[in-house]
Amino acid sequence: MSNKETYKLQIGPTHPAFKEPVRFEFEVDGEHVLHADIDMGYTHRGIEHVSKERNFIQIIYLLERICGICSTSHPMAYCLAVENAAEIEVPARAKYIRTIVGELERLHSHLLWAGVAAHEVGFDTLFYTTWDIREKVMDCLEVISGNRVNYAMLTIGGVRRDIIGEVAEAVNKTVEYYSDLYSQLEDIMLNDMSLRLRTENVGILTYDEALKLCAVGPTARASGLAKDVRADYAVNAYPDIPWLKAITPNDVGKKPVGDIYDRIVVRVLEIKQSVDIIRFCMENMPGGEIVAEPKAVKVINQLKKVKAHGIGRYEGPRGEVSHYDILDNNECPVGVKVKAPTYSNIISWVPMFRGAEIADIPIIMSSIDPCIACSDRASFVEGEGKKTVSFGELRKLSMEKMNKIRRGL
Amino acid sequence: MLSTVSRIMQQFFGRRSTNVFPVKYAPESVIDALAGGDIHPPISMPEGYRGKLSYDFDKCIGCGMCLKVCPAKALEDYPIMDTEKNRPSKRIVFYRGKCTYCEECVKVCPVGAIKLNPDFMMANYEKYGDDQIEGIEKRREFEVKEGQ
Repeated sequence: MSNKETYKLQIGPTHPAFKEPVRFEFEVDGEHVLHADIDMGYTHRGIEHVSKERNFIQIIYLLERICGICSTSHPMAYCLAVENAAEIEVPARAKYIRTIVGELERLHSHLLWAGVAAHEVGFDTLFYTTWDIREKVMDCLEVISGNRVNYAMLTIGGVRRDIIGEVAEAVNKTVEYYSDLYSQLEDIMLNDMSLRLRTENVGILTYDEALKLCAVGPTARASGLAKDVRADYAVNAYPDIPWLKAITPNDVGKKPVGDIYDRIVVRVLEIKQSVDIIRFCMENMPGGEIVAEPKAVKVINQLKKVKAHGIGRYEGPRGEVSHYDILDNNECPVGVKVKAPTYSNIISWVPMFRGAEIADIPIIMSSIDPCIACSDRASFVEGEGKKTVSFGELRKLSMEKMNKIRRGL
Repeated sequence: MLSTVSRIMQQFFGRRSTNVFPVKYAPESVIDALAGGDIHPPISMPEGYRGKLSYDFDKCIGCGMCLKVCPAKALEDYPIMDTEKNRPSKRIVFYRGKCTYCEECVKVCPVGAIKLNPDFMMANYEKYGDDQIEGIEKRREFEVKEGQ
């Protein structure tokens, strides 16, 4: 028995391979990773706290800025939560427009991810191609909303802009563009030899692990876990779509392994699914109002009279986003709780990194499409350095907080 | 191979897809070109594009609804004396550097005094420079300071 020594390898918080600050501590044996430890909390901005000082309309635009990529997902979950609490009925047309904007966002997020992933494996041609393709959907979103990112389309009780006339034409054109392009995209992403060599059987998250660690979104679906909020707890126009289901690699006749290649498969198939959903919505969009109450000040006054709590769940491009809001006869909510998809997926990194090579660290890291800024909801500032909280202590703290909230209500 | 070469040539000699920003710091030749209307926006500005804010001082009634909805607190009010109605009123200034282009103030304004224009060239080095504050001239002219 040789006395093999292992080494600690620190990567982050700032590192060229990472798009956002997160720190990893790897225990490595030669080129192989034995264990990974994750340290978060470098981009905590206190958005939940700031939310308590702003009124219900102002918060929409604040929450939009939790994440630049899923800038519809967070306001969507928030609006659903407030509507749930105040029992506001959203007009049918608004539901369809929400779905279209959400799916366009998914389209651009998946294309962006494809580019980032391609860049991480050194396949820069694919990176340029996907980002070039992505420009079309960005332009389409600009035509719809007037903004390239942070669309500001949603409001409590509906949407702020209609999709009619020239705008509808632009959306239809975008749908056509992507359906024509899809076979080409599928060919590059799924059949390219160099990409397959780098991604197959790398960063495996098995079905059992995904289930146990509560993975969400494409990360979970790539492991064969058919879990999609759009299909399971459908909101917006999703209940009207009969063929909508969670996409797993089984759909292309492949047994799910849970490796990075499977995550590519799921995301590429979701691009097609998104295009189909947008087409369905454009064809079946009902007429009528786009917002329950167009006057923002009236909405604030209406919500002032509500004392309730609501939850909103929405399938963002990266997985389930859920918001929990507490309304308490006030212009501002007394509590806003955000749960971003990456928060659920962080822990999936640990089994993925186990046994991986050092060269594969960047691609495994980006394979879950992490959004660190989304998930940094807390940062430990008290005392010096780190403090480990045991399960019992954490449970006690959670119960204390829950009781406090209950008493408040 | 040939298609690659043609693509490269296209990118070398074709029309550039970017503009030089900020315009006022660009070389004079470029400013001339831009002044001549030879700018090429990424896409033609669609109707309802959320660009530069404009504020109509005379239309404004000083109700302050825009202050209530602005998420970025990019608006600031100041007192004036309304000579027509002979009573104190309020007007606003916009800090363009803080604006998030959500259009909430435009929607909420009861008299349509605030508008978003298709003008998108706003890059500047000074966040609180005079040209980044909409309505600053009027403020200097009409603001009623304490003790007046």
